[in-house]
Amino acid sequence: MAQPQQEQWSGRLAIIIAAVSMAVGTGNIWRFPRVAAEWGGGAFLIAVTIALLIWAIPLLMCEFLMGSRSRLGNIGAFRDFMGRKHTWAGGFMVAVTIGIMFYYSVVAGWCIRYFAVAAAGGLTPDLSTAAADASVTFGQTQWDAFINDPVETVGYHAAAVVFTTFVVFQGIKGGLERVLKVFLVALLAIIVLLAARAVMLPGSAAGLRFLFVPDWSQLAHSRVWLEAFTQAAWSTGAGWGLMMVYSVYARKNEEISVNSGIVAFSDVLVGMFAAALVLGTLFAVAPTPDIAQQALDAGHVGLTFIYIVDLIATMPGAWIISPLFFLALALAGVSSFIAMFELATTNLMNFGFLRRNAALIVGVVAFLFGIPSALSIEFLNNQDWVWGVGLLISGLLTALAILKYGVKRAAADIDASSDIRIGAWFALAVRGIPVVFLVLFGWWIYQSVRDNPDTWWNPLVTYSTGTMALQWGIALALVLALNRFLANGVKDGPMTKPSEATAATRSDSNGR
Amino acid sequence: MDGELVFWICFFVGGYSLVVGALLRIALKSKN
Repeated sequence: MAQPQQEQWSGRLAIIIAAVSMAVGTGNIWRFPRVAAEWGGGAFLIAVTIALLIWAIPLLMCEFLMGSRSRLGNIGAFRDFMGRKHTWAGGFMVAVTIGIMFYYSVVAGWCIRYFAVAAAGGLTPDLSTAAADASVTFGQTQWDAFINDPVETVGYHAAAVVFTTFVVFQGIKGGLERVLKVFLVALLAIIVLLAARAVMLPGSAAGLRFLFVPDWSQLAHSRVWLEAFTQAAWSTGAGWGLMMVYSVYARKNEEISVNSGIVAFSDVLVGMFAAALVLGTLFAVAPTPDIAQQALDAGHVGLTFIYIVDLIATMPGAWIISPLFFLALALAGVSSFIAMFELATTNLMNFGFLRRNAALIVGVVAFLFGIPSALSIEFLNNQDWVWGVGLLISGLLTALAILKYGVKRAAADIDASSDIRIGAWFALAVRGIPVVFLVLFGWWIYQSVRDNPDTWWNPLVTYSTGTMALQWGIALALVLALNRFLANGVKDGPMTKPSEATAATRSDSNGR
Repeated sequence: MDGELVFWICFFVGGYSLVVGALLRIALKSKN
């Protein structure tokens, strides 16, 4: 039977756009500003830049190499780079990213909902009546009403899943490429526009100082470096396996080094604009600097869906700024969700499913497994904790795959198809990734034990070490048990070595 | 805005924009 032709991005710019829209997510808007402001502003930005060079860019390059050379999703790529015995590592990476996908669609649904309500004028209240009950703000009332309404939370989660299923169903060129191009351009335009508007507001300079002026003393604190490396690991998509999947559809011998650099540096650049927008607006609009600080301390949900709703409502032009802000958030969320959905779909296609069937299966599963997070924010927080930290393990596994494959060989492969030769630095950085992992991972575990001295072992506590160990353990046991099935079930790619059984069959038939 | 703030905004936003711009230029001009 003739093999169906492999799908492909239309060109280099297409894969760069897809990869940047994968990396730029809601975290750029609601995490980056808070963390940058808290950990030394410009000093933090310098630490992030170093983290990009040591962790994020080398890992993105590893993923790019694995996907584009194996022409297979994560499971097949790990099989072909690490050997059949270690196929489970690809399975673990898929489990972690799918674990995130299950709640990320819920978060994308929140953003879509807030955009829809803002566009209908529902987030610009009549402030004279809103002030009647000052104990509960308008933003808090809005959020409580929404999050406690299962029809709305599940409904908007379903909307995110249905839209994404439709996009992935249409394929790489007809679906992802077409949609992501429009999404990224719109997202960048809105963020730059709103950031420019925020910078011009009287009083915004106080927020911008937090973001850009370095507090050099912070660089002496290990916490700043840990936060910077965590930011670089989570925000750029390095270690998620998403770049690996997008590069499966790259052209033959696609450039790796420059493309990976563009993804990582663009991600932080967009983060800076988003941070200028959020911090500039907060400090300009908040009645006192203390309230601006409270907003930053209120977490993702508190900052975005409560404080920003309240503060934007008091601004001139709120009727247009509010929908644009939530549109940017929705575009960032959905474009990252599309990448996770494509990861699941591509891995399923490697087991022989047609794209359309695979997309439909992933859509149904994503909807069903996302329901607990849509119904319980506590459950969502738990999943965010477990699989967010799990990404560091995925990053380590990616580096180990390249070390097993041969880091010098990988560096030579990368240099052979790159516009700039950075193989020597790549080899050095990949060798250092296990050390960085040990420090980062150890710190997160230490934090979880320190913050929950009595319950850190309890798997039923949301942010405990026990809950991480239990859920990672289940995922690990499953992929280890299924290792042979995974290794044999994934189709062969151009790098696949025959299994012992296949080789024996072949030599038998040759002997005859 | 004071001079120090303007300097650091130019340093970080300008620096990152230059890096992204230079890499994009290499990508778009490359025959690869």
